[in-house]
Amino acid sequence: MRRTGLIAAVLLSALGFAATAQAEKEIDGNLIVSFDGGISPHALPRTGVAPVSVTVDSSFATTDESDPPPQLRQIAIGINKDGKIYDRGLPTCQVRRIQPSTIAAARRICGGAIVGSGHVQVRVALANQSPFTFKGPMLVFHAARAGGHRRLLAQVYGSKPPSAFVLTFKVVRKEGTFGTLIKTSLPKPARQWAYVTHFDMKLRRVYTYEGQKHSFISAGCAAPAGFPGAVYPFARANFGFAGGKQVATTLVRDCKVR
Amino acid sequence: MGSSATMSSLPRFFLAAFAALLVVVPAALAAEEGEGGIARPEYISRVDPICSKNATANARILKGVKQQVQRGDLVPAGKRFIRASSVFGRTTAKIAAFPQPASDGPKLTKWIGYLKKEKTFLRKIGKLLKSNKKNPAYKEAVRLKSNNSKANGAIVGFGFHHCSIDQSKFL
Repeated sequence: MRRTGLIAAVLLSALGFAATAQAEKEIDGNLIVSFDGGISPHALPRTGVAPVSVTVDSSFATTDESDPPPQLRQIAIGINKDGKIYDRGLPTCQVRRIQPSTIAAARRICGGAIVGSGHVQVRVALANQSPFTFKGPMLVFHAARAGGHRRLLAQVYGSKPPSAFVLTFKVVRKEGTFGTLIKTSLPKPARQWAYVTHFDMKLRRVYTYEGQKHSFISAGCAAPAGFPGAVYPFARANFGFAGGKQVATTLVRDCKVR
Repeated sequence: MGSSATMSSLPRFFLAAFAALLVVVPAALAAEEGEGGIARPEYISRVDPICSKNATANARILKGVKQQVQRGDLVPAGKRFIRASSVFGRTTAKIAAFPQPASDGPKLTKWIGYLKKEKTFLRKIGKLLKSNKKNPAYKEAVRLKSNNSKANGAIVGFGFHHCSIDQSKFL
């Protein structure tokens, strides 16, 4: 059995102490960045791993309500290395198959490759038009590797106005605490008009391959022996904005041994 | 601590506390009273270096403590937490005595309130470790983690470079 990359993860979010988890907020100049997320379930095995869902949630605003806000151009989210991504036998999807399409159509075409979902909110500023907000649901698909890296396709569809686009996330393994880096950049054409103000993503997929159940993401609760849980760094986000501004923030979460 | 966890596992439960100490505790504050209050940039310029300096000081106190917990040497680890807590308490008191910008008073008072709680959490964790009470120690560590986030939230946007608690560096 091939084990694919390590991803992050001992996290919690559901019960007990989950209520204490809170978003981290950073303010840089007039820019406000909020970052939240976690792993569910809260209770995980001390040794080995169990299927989990990983959630990240980011919002971008300004202190002076400038419109449009600073343009988000790069997202890089490092997830704790104590976790695993397994994608052997998981179907893949290609951009050309789901772009353009509605969410329902994309689900129909590449349903087997879905590994998550979420939402995106974008402030759209076009020449000779008043800015408006685009909101849309997002589906996340497993894609074939490129350049040795796993990839995820985030397909977004909005009905007002009708539009669809796909963001390609590269999943990179690296050294350090946050051993799995999920990153993407705003496509160059979109830099003319797209100002992301919110996105959230939940990754979870359990599937059967060769008669065995697998989880796209798994994690454990690496608490020392005798301790009922652990506090650990869950994720670190780096957001790059037009003009070169970088904002980084880290989430610390806890888990319980089940 | 004879952990049955994976090789990469660490005794993370206490490290939130560790991080807090490394980052926040100021050592000596030469508080100079300004008659008409103090401007925020000046406040930051005075407090920030102290946070930075004391991060180093507390790193020394807690050096190796996570390995102690990992090995199960909880009593000496607990003592270190208690000692660190004392230092934290003294320095928090000094911060509290420092003149604050009038307009930031409520926020800074809130922040200092969290720092005081931090001291209490650290002491509790230390005592619980000394008593080999792992479950309660973990619970206090979780509360400490939450308190750290609140402390950071209280000063978000102030422009401190060294007074925010970045627990992830030490977990």
